[in-house]
Amino acid sequence: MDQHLAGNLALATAITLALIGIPLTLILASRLWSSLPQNRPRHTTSSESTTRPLACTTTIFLGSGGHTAEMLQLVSGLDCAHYTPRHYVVGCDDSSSVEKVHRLETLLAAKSVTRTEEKGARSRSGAGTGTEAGAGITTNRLISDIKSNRSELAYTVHRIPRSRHVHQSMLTTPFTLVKSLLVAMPLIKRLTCLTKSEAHSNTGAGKAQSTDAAGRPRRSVLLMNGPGTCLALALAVIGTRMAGVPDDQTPDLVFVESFARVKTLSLAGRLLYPLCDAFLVQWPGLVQQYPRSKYIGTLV
Amino acid sequence: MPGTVLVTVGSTQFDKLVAAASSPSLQHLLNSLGYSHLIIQHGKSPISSTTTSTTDSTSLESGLQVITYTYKSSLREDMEEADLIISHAGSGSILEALRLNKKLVVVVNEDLMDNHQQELGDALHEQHYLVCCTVSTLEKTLLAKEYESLEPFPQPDTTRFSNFLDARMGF
Repeated sequence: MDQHLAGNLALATAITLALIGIPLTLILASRLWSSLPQNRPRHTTSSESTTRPLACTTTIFLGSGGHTAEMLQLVSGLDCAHYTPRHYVVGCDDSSSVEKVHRLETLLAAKSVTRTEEKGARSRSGAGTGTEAGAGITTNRLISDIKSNRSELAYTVHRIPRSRHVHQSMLTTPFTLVKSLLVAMPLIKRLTCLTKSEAHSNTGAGKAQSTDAAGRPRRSVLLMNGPGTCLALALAVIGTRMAGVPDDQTPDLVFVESFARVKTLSLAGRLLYPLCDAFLVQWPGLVQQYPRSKYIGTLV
Repeated sequence: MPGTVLVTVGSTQFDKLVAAASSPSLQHLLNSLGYSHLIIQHGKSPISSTTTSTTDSTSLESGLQVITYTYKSSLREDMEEADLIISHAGSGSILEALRLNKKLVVVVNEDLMDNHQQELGDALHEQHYLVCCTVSTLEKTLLAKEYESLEPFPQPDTTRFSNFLDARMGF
């Protein structure tokens, strides 16, 4: 009798779990599917908005070594009055990239000071080193600072655990990936996601007041060029989209494949190709194989 | 007058290139091509103490002054001084040398598993920015003197990326 009851109970539980589990999996799968950039009409910033954005929150992943060198070369060409604030994300053990960030930002600061002397640019060097030493709290303060004051914040530096170490076994990689994902999720939310009021210009008044700073929208972009750890950042963004955060409040995912890849994509490139909103390659032959990618010449 | 040759393996291990560079036959060849100094940056690869002293400059029977060291934080100075660079095929070293408009011979490490370096070397060779070879064809390649007639590599154009991103973001 008891056995019979237990059997029935187990069956009932299994059916219930299946009833909940299968639709849940299906819903998650369809959400993921519709969150992928090729399956959704991404907000076309240039045509949709007639108002020029106020600024673009720029998050930059630095993958150490050659990746860092190429990425900083790309960043060095950006107009830092538009792409501000800049948040650099580096691997935990990558002090050399952090040094290079400080060096580049000092140059950028000098450039922008000479460009807008009358504006009286605020000291940038202090902000950078402060963030480095004081991790989260200082960064938080700086971000709220810039959001409230619309002042020219220089940059912040953040560290995340690597998804995969050199020579790490493929078996343990999922665990380290999850670890960096857990760090990446809140970081991405905090650094890159915009509030509704930031993402949208004051409707109606937007066009008329296009010169008025308060009426103009903000954009966000996440720049990546490998290696594997940036997968955690991209997945975190896809995750926020799956959770229902509107596209224009999440960062535009931009991947730039290395100059070193002529005929084949890197592992990071292959993984991020379906996830990214824009995918640049530096050799024309790759475009035939990867039609969503774009070749606009050598970038480094 | 052409004086200095720099052989560099970057931060990699490339025993065969280092062995070739420290061999008397290659040093004789470089001397006959008119070079007087050879710098070998050998990174993690061992260098035989019989051919060269591991620290300072030594004069060999080949007539070539040879300096060897493992690594420097920046190779830029040595690259600037060199008249000919013989480098491993890492994209970082290649770009650095091309930017300085140096005569560049790139040696692909055929022992690497995922050999996309060959693709990069070949692609840049095709456009005459450098000469690409392997350790076994290095001497022949140097003799052919193709490195004397290379195209200058275009300077980096950072506006390409910034224009792309500006358009995308709506600036």
